[in-house]
Amino acid sequence: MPERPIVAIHPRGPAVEFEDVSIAYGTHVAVDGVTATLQPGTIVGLLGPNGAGKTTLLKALVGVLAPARGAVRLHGMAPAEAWHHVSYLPQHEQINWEFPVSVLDVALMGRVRALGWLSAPRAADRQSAMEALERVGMAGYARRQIGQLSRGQRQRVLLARALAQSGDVVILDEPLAGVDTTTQDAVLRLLGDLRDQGALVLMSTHDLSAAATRCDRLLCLNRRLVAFGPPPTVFVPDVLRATYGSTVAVLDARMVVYDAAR
Amino acid sequence: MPLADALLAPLGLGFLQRGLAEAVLIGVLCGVIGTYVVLRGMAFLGDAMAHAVFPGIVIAFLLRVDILLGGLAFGVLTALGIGAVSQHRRVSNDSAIGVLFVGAFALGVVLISSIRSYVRDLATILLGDILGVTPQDVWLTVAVGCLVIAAVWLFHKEITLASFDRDMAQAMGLPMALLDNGLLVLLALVVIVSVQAVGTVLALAMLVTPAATARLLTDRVVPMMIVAAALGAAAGVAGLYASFYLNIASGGAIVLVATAMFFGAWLFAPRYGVWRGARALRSAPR
Repeated sequence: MPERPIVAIHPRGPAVEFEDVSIAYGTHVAVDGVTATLQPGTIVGLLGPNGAGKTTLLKALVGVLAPARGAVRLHGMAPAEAWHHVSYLPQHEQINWEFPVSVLDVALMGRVRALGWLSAPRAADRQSAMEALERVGMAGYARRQIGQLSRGQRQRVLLARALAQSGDVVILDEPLAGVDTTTQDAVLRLLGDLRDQGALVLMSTHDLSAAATRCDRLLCLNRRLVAFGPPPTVFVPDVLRATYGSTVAVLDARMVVYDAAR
Repeated sequence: MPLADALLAPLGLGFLQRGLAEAVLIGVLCGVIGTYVVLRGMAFLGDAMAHAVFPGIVIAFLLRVDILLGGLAFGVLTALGIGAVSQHRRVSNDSAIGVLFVGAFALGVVLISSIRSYVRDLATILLGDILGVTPQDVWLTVAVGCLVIAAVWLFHKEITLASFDRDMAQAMGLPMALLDNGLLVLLALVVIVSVQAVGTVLALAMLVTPAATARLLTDRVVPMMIVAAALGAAAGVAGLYASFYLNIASGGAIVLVATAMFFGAWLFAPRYGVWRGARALRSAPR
């Protein structure tokens, strides 16, 4: 199967910039003063305990939430103007899986904005949606209603939809949560391919072993930015303690994080 | 009387022809918009809309202007009012809906009480009078129907995405406020033409019941719309015949037929019916 290259835009400079970003829900500050610059061609893992602001930060990046202070930029643009750069996989819980849509319908949704107003998907769009489903191994399920799939299969369908968006900034909210090992391997392999093609992959995760072995950079968040760097600089007791607080136990040279996964 | 005669004889009556045409049109329209109402969990808002258009219709009635305009103005104003009032952190969306729609309804009651024949007029608006629709009413429904179907046809993929995964739609930069408010305007239009036929009290049933029934029978949005439209039209026709031969209120008869269809599907739907579910559970291998 030919690997379709992602959007052939290779702008110079950073893919994503967070500049002193604070995001609040009413008076509750969920993200406080985060500054970081993410480069294309890397996989960045976003780590932090529940309630650390991971989802909030990602939602600000895709333009769903507006920062109370600071700026978020994608390829130098505000999120609202950069939609064509974005591929997005939202959190599993956020989606109504009983909704009457088929697997192919969901993959085609990745094309809605690119298609533009007043135009229905054509054969070429169906084909690219089917190719995206093939890449995640879900082409055989195209006609199924999404509620009939297992959690891992659903996650792969969301990934296919993100691929159909063909953005070069791939933003994933816990793509590995609660999935089987087959799905996990498939997802990580695909993310590696996207990185090799020059995309920035930013994913939040509770899976520290995947973070340590598959990510080029780790961004540790606990409302504030705790650390940002390559895995070896982040997997040190002080950083993990500051990130996960009392849910991390450091025993000699080993670290155990418990209660990290939901 | 043979069945064919029973079905065909009333067609010679002009008022019944118009009633049937109106019932089919409203069944179809409510099925289509009702699909979005059911999928987006907007049933309460639909009810609000049915009551909110009431003062608009009364004012239009008093001023002898077009009831569509009066109803639409009040429906949209109330919908936008709900949005504005619920911005306050201590006023939840459903509270705002509750306050505004009953308030609008009360305004309608007060206004209509100034007319002498108000008890009869009130009953007509509350319960509808599908056998009293004029040719102009039918044409108005046709016009509204064309507008609504065209809008749904043109913006279906955007509305479906925004209903299924709001964050994704927003991340793609779709204009959410425009889509939400556009859908509210369509809802208001459909509710107003329905109110003429089945009244403000029963309009919600036409919006929700056929679509909720179709939800049990289908697995994709467009088939759900088609089934909901067919069920709504069928309920309209069957209810109207029942009302003609049994001499019962037409609006009530139509809604009862639709309700019976819903329970039929709830029990016996091939895949999602309760009966089938219970049987599958019993025969499941342990």
